[in-house]
Amino acid sequence: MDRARRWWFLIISVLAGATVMCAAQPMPSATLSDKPLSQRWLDYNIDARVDAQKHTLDATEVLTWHNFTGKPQDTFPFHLYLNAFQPKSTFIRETHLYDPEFEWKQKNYGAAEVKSLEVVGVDDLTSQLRFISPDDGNPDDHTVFQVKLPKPVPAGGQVQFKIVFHDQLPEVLARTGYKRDFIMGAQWFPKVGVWWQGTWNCHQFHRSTEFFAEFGTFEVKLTLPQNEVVGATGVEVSSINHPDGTKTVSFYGEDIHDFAWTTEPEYRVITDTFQGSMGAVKIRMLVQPGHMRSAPRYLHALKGTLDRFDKWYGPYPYKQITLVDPPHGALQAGGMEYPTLFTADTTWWAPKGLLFPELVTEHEFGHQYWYGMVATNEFENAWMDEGINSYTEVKIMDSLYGKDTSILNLLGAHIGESDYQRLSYDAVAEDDPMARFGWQYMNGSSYGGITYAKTATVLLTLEKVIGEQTMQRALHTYFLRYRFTHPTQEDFLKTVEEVSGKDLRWYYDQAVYGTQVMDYEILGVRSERPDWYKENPSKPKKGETVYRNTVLVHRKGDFIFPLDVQIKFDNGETTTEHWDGRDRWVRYQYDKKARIVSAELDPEHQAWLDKNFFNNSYTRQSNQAPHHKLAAYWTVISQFCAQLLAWLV
Amino acid sequence: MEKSFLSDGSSRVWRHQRILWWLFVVNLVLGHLSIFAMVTRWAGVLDHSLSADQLYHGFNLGRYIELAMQPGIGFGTASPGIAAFAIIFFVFMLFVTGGILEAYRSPYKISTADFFQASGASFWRFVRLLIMFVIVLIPVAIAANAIKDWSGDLSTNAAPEKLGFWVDVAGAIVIWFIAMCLRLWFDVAQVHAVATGERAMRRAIRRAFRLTFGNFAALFPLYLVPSLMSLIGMAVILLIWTKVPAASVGISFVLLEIWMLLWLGTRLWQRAGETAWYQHTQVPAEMPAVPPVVAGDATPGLAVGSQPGI
Repeated sequence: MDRARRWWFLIISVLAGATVMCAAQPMPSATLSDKPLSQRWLDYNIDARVDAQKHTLDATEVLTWHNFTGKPQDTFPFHLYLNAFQPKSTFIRETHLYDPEFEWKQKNYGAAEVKSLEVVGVDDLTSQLRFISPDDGNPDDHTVFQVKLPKPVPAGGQVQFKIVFHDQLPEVLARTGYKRDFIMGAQWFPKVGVWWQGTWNCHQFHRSTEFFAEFGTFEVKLTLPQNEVVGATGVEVSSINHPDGTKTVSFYGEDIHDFAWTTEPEYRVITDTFQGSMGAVKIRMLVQPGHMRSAPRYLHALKGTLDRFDKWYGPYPYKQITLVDPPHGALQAGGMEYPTLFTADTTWWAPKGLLFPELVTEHEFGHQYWYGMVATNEFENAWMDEGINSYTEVKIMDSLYGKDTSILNLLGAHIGESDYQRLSYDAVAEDDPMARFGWQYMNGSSYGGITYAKTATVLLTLEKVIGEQTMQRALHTYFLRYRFTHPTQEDFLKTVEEVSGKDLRWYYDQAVYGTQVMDYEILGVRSERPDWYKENPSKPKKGETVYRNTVLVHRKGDFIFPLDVQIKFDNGETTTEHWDGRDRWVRYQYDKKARIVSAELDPEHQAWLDKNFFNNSYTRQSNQAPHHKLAAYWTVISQFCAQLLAWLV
Repeated sequence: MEKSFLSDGSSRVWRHQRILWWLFVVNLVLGHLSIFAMVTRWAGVLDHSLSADQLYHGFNLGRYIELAMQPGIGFGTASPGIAAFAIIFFVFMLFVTGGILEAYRSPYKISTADFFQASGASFWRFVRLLIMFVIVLIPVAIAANAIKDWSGDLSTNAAPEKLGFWVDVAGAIVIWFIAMCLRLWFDVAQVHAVATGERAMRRAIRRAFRLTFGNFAALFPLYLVPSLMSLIGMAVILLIWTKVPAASVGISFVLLEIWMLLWLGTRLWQRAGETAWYQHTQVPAEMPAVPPVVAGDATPGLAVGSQPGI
């Protein structure tokens, strides 16, 4: 070798060695733990090139699946959810069923096409793919496909799929797609189903349901224009610019079960840190330029929520949380959760007294626990993620913003989270039980009112039975016990029973599995003298005249629940009775030298399931001030309407 | 010039303030009657309930929604009553407008009989004017709707986030301006019809069109200034109202009624200003106002008759 050749040999050797070393280097950890937190069934390795102008994506996915099922497996179902955005899909069919005014627009078309599917080292199985519709048999629904391997994967073994696919993103609809320069890449890659309770669980994409997937690791490379600001699940590992004006941004996530990303040139990036019990969590917020006024509100809500979850339910173990603020017109992408990333929602005019940005931030972060880590089946037990999360939303929003003002505190009007949830439930109280598959609810209102609001209200009412602190301990236990697994609804219900030490089946049968409605009322109170029959009774003397006081309590609804009845007398005495609530009515009677002032059911106001709070109390003397107040305001409203109409004259 | 017509108009409103008070009382009574059935139902739910206090001390929106969710108490059940009484007030105003204009035209207080005679004399002519006014408003309503659709589309799809909002604001100002011009035009037509006894309303409209838009600079402020005063007054009153404690229902009610009175007053001010302008600029074409029946001592402005003057 001459000198020059030797130099070239040396340089090439060093470069090759460095490349090998780099390739062999493990990915940096994406969690605050030094060991795996979940049983990692999957390793996704996706290399995608995004065309931000055409809203398309071409990618190669290498998926390694580890067979922890305990038996050989030869059949694999995959989600292919972008195909939901097609006019004959089950999703669009259900959307039209729930909302007959829904119009299909071609710009909402989305598709994921598998160009090839190869089982590495075995065969190209592209021709073997077939779409299945396990939920409704719709032959035109292409959101789930299945592939059968020539030979099974042995128990304890693994299989590697290499899938080449092409995505067409829709204009944003149902959480996914583009709006102008903004892209929300969700449900965008072929995702294998979950082996759960001894069988594959892989549902079609529905109008109401969300998702269910298995834990693993994700290495995702996104190649896109250099001017794009990118956010994604996990942590950013590297960003390399290319001469053609593109860049490749690599992300890594572990102990997660989905991967979403977003890009937009206009994003403003705000970073901060939360010091949790497992270590520092990086907060990364991608905010629209026009929404910067909401940024401090987002941050306050997010840090407060992180703090409460950390103290009350358990630690947040990931190194980063990313908040994405979608642009105007992309509301459908807002308010959605993905592992370590969620989308919030605001407007440029959002008044401070309307806590919508805070509420969405709290709720979607809450899903990092109830969906992200405690990965329940959102198709079959929607209440377990949305509902438990709505309950913790109530607790945290009340803690951060006040019990009566945690939703609205504007111009003298106010409403708290508990009321908001309860009223949302009241509107659909008899429609469906909580324990129902998500796509089998009567309609979208029922799905929302029951899975979110009823669950929150049921758990708030349960506090009355087991105590607020016990409820918090039960959730803490449930979280620690079932994080990084897929618990069933019975797992949750039994955990609450175990922690509280109480048999709660009577409550679950009505509240979770039933549609019974609770409505107790004070039917009336009376205070009359025992000598009422006398023609000329003696003049009553306060504190001396004896009265026969009666309180009649009535169960109007079919939900049986034990309640306290508090009776106040005009001599300052207070009596509290406990009623098991089983019979249709109960009458309490007191002979006292005092008259009743008021009788009130559930004086601590914990029976949030009760449909009507107004009839929970009765005062012997009427107070007309509240109705006079309403009458005054409505009179003005009526006068105003009349004057507006009279302008035509 | 218009300043003097404005002040002339305000002094006419002041001089005939009984008209304002009567309209206010009718408006108030009808407003109260429209919700009477609702109030009875509210009373049944609220009067003996401890929860009702959350609507009195403060305003718990949750409690209010819960009240509205009770059978027979929702917004849907309130609106027919409000709509019915609004229509009654509307018909009442249609009827008395002729009398109001006659009163403002007269330098004297006119008797109640003359007031209602003038009202009756103009009623069917004003019904015809109303029909034509509604026809003229239809394209404006279509334009307003189109602007709303456009701004809605911009709010969703245009890159600048506030563009839709500003289009909405600009559109509202333009529509408001057009609506004011049209209302002014038909106001003048009414003034002209009362002043001249014109019975052909299409001719009155044509004449009013020439008058209005031929003297726009003089007339428009007579409409605009009271309109702005009513809006500014409303803003001030609502601002004060937000500071009033929730349980001070009486103070709140008085404040809001001042607002109602202000709106009625400014509308009458517009009418009076237009009448003053018409009288000063169109005298030759005008018919004499109803002469007062003067009593023996001929006290100016004191009407006599079997009924009190208005």
